Formats: sequence, structure tokens, C-alpha cells
Amino acid sequence: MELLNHLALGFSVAGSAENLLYCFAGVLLGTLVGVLPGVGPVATISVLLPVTFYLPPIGSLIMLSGIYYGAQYGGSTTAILVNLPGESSSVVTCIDGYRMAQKGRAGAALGIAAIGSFFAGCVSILVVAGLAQPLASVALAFGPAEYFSLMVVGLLSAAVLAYGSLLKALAMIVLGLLLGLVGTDVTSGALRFTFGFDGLFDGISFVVVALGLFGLAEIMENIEQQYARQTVRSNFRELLPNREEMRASWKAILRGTALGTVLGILPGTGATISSFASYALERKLAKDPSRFGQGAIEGVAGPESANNAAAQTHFIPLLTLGIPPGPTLAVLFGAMVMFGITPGPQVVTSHPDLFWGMITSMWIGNLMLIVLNLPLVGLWVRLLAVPYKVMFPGILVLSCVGVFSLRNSVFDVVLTAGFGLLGYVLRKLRCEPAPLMLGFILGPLMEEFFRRALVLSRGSPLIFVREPLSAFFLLIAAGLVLMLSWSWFRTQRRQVMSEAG
Amino acid sequence: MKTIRTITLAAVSVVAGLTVAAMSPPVNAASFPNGPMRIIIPFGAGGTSDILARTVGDAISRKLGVPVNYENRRGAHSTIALRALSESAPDGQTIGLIATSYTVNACMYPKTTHYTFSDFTPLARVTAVPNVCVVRKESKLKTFKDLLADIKKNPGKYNYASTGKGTPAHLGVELLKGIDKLDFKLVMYKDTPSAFIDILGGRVDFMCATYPTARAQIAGGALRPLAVTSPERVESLPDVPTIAELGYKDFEATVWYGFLGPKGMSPEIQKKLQDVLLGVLSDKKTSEKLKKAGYTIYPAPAAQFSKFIEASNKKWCGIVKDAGLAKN
Repeated sequence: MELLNHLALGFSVAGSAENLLYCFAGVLLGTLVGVLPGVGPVATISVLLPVTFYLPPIGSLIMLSGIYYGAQYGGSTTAILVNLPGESSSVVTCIDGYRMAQKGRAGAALGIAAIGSFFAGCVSILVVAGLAQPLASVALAFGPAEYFSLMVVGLLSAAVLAYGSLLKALAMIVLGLLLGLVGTDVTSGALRFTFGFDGLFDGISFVVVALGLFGLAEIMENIEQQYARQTVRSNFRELLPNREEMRASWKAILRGTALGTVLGILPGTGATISSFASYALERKLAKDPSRFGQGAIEGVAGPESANNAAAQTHFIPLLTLGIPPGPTLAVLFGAMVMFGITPGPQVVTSHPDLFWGMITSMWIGNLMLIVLNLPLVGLWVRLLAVPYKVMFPGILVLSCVGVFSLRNSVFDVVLTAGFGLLGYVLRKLRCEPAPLMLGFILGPLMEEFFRRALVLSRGSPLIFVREPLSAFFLLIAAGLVLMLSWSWFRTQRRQVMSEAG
Repeated sequence: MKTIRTITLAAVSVVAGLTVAAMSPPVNAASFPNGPMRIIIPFGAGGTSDILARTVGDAISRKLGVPVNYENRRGAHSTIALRALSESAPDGQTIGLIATSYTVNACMYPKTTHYTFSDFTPLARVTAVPNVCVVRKESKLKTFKDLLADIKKNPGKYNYASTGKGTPAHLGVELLKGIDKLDFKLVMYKDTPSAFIDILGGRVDFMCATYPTARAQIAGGALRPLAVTSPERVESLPDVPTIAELGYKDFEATVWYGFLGPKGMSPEIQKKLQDVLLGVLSDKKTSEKLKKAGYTIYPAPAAQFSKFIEASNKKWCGIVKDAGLAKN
């Protein structure tokens, strides 16, 4: 009952005409920056920050968080339409979403992404509202050993992401891990593989690698192949997922939501891992896993739901512990501090109107996003009718501007071009970029957590099995390895048998 | 938004560059400010250091009546931003924000630090951020003295969360270690939030975090402040002693911020910028805003700032050397 009172308070705050307007402005802006490749919510919120000091605190926080989760919706749009992942969590969406677009089902992919995100948003907001306080302790239970073991599971799921040769997938993971090593080592402060370029001291930005390997490589290959797109269907109903596609997706949406909600509580990596994990899970559970990578709608529905759910539950560590779980929410944290609101354990009692207002505004914002995004699907799909020779220079320019805006660095733009070239070569060698991305994202984190765990245990590796949660994850990992090697063994034997027969 | 801004910024700087080239040498104080100013920020957009630069920049803009553009050149311990600053014209139109790392880089990263203090013209020191040494609320330790005594009783048992190599949070505790022959383990973190997870989770025993980042947890009672590293007590933590008060004479490990120009700036322009910066700090509205963000107003004019930089360099580099911390 108390919860209902709180929600009523929240709605009275978030439902005021003024705050509805801020919320709408936020999600609209978020959708736009999500769509622009490379231009992320961090940059947008930082630019807007000085302006917000002239607005009422609650209104501006509602708007700023709208930008944050709005960008999650927008980010999948470019991933599906032109194979450009704007955020680490949309890398997975590229795999099947872009294939769907190539087959003329861009509308369905965009539609299911929006529907899945909306559903996931609604569920995870309820979790934030009802369980924020008790769940905060879960975030604190995760030490370096737990994180490391969880990531081992995540990395192994990359092997599931691979198509064709397992060996090539492993090579890609290793390449990703190596790329992730570039930069300053956290534990010792030593510089690694920087070759004297100060642009590499802080490592290679995720956006640089993703835009290069996915977006630019795609453009090169398309030009080479005299790429012709499917004609656009004008019937609006055909633009949205049909009944068959909905039936295939709803379970994926449920599972993705659950995964994202849980993993989003963990600061740092939750959203990305949850989208990869959801993809791996869907592929494992599918009756016909070979459809994955060829435009399977579950491969869009699951990960998109997972990353939006995680985006919402990321607010739990921010609002209840005062710990921003990622760069975007760190900026939001800064804004709250400037408003004289200290996010943390006491915010619920000291600013109940803000806490519940923000939570209900997230629900309203998600509703606005789906109302905004479903009609936009038609517009986006029509955009695909633009001749490719006109479109690709546009994508190139936007990507360059986006990369440059990360930190005003021309070096990063050149580096992106280099990764474009690498991506092209990898395609020619039939190597998938997704396992590379996962290795690149998880590698440096795993190293950091692994070494930190060992520092805390004074060098004893037993810490990974002594901590119950960590041991549990390692057990899952061992199970995955067994499963993978068993299926590998079986196919090998089948091959031998068929050759013999 | 950002895109448009970046394009405008690029266009403006091209135009500004051409203008400067066309009418270069006769630079004097009378012609400054001459069009939009540029502040180079060595940190990413949105952080507290960025807020500092933009708040001061806003006030400068109002005072001088010219627009101010901001350029975030984050990375490589500020060296990327410093290089951009040293390559700009010393006409006062471009200034840069710096922090403590400016004085530590040369000894911490001798091979990759390509600047010397003579490449820049100091303008003024503006603010500082104290570090607050904290333990979690469940800890049995009530005072900083308890903590030190317990560390001495249990050598090698304690864990300290350090954010970044060569930061005051890191070097300050190395200083303490050196003075008192304390034996505890440093656990390295990339940023404060990830360190907090382990502090609050009870895996790491204590840390000295910048006050703005720890304020939320201190106010909420999740973290207990034991001491501050600034020379004076912090206004909003009146009961928390400084480490210097506890018998470590002159102990100080704060992050400070100041502004520099490129070398070769005329003394007139230097003085004008110094006066503007110091004037901005005494403006009530600006200083209130900075205090709200967790800053201590810590002004010093150019000459004093220059000496302060030398002293800071000597102090921190001594610790780097003693503890053998230098990296390639």
C-alpha cells in the first residue's frame, strides 16, 4: 500500500504539464542523439547541463534521464538500418537486426525493438520502484572475484555468438582482448602498446572500434558489391512485426527483460553483458539456431529488451547507493550534486518527490518513446529508399563528426578509418566482429578485476572458489565449456562417420 | 546538439585562426580580448572539473563581454590538452585549465611527458578539492588515530583503495606510509565509484576520496569521515580533523586547479587574465556555485601560483622517487 502512495506522489509530480513537457523534450532529444552515430547521451547531457541550472531541479533531472533512456531506444535504430552500433549494448542488435533490414524487414526489427524495450522498461521500472532498497545490497555483494567469474561466463557466451568456425571465433576473442590491453594499466600505471601516441594512453574508445568494424567495413563491402536494397514496402501494417514474428519474440522479450533487470543492478557492465547474454541464451534455446545471424527476430527482441531493462535498473545503484553505474549516469550524478541533491541512501527520505517523480517519469517517458518510435519506424524505413550513393557519404560524415566529438581528437577519426579497414579484411576472411567486440569490452575489465581480486587475497587464487557467488559462476562457465566441447566433438564424429560411410 | 556545437566550434576556431594569422604580431593588452576566447579542458565533458571550467568561463565571458568556447581534450594525464595549449597563440584568447597532475607528470611518466613548466605562462590558481579519508559505517574504527594504531598492530592486513596512479589520493597515502613506516596494501581503481563498491561492500578498509564524490555517502551515513587532507578543516565537515592536526605537520594532499596560457604571453595580458580570474572568484554568485559543487576557493595570483607549482612538483616528485613509482 505504501508503494501505491509513493507512486501516487510520483505521478502527481511527473504528471504535471510542465514536467510532462520536460520528459517529452528529454526522450525526443535522446532518440535523436541515439540515432546519430557516435554522438552519445554523455555529450548531449554535458552540453545541456549549464542550461538546466536555470530550470527547476526535478524538471531538468526528468529531462536528463529522458535523454539517457531515450538514447537506448534510438541507438538500436542505426544498428538495424545501417549496421552502426551507437552504444556497446547495440552491438548485438547489429547481428540479426541488420540482416532483417537487408531482407526488407527493417520495420519489423525496429518495431520489435521498440515493443521489447517498452515492455522491459515497464517491468524494470516496477522493480526499481518496489525493490530498489533491498536490491542495492546485491550490487555491493559483487566484489572483484564475483565480477571476474561473471565475465568468464560472458566471454564464453561469445563462443556461442560465433558462426561457422569455432577457431576463428576464438581468434577474434583473443584479438579483442589484445586490443583491450592498449592504454594505461590500472594496477601498475604502466603504458601498454601505445607506441608513443598519447591518443592511445587511455585505451581505444569503444565507439572507434565499433564504428570502424561494423559501420565503415559495411560501407566498403556494400560499395564493392554494387549493393542494391530491397524496395520499401509502403503498407504501414507490413512495417510492423507480423503475428508470426510476434509469436517468435514474446518469450525472448520476457527472458531478455529478466536478464537485463538483474544484471542492470550491477554497476559498470550490466547493460552490455545482458544484451550479449540474452542473445546467446536465445540462440541456445532456439529450435533452429542456424537462423541466427540470418535475421532471426528473437536475436533483436531479446537483447533490446535486456539492454533497456538494464538501463532502467542502473538507476538503483545511482539513487540508493549514490554510485553512478556508467559514464552517462555519472554526468547525471554531477547534475544532482549541483542541484544540491545528494543521491544516495537518504535521497528517498529527503527528496521523496524527486525519487518517486523520477521513477514515474521513466514510465511515462517509456510510453512516450513507444508512441514516438512506432510512427517513426515508417520514416526510418523510407530513409532506406534513399540511393546508397547518397546515403553512405552521409553516414561517413556523421560517423566522423560523432567520433571527433568524443574528445575533439582527429587521431580518433584516423583510428576509426583504420578499424574500418581491419573490419573489411576480417569480413573477407569470414571472421565475425561480434566476438571481437565482446573480448574488447570484457578483456580489460576481467584483467582489472582478476588482479584486484588477487591483490585482496594476497595472491591466493582460491578467492575465486571461496566466494560462493563467484564459485557459482565458475561452475556455470565449466558447464558451458563441457557443452561446447561435447557439441564440437559430436560434429567432428559425425563428419568422420559420414566420410567413412 | 553536440554536433552543431562542434561544427560551430570548428568553424569559429578556423575563422579565429585566420584572423589571428592575418593580423598577428602586434599583440598587446589593448587588443585583448579580441573576439571569442577558448578554454581547453583536460577532462571529459560533464565531470566536476568540467563544471569548474565552464562556471569560471561563464563568469569570464560576462566580465569581458566576449563569448567563451570550451574544448574538452581529455586523456593522457592532461598532456593532450597541454600540447594543444602550448601550440596556441599567446594572445590571451586561449587559456587552459590544469590540475595537480601537471606538476607530477614529469617524474611519474618521464618518457611520455614532453612539456616543461617554461612552455606555459601561469595565470592564477583558482580552487582546490580536499580528500576525505573514510571507512564504511560498519567499521569499528571511529577516529583516524584508531585506524593508524590498528594498521600498526596488524601490518600488511589493511587495504587502501587508491583511485589512479600519481593522484593526490595515491601520493598522499604514500607520503603517510613513508612518514610512519605504515604497512598496508594499495588496491588500484580507475575511478571513485568502483572503489566505493568495494569500500561499502567491506572488501577494502579505507580510502581518501575527493570530497564532492564522497559527500553523498557521508551525508547519508554510509561512509564515516575520519580526517581531511587539506591544510584547513572543510566548512561542511567541521568536526572532522585535518591530518596535519593529528601530528603530521604540514601534511597536505589536495587536488588543486589553476589556469595557464601558452608561453610568450605579454606581461600585460598575463596580468589582465590573472585579475579577471581572481575577480571572478570573488564574485559571490560564482563562488557559491563552485562551493556547491564541492570546491574550496583557493586563489593565488600568477607569481605565487608559479612558485606553488615548483613547490608542488618538488614535493610530489620526491614521494614518487622515494617510493619508486615512476613509469615509462
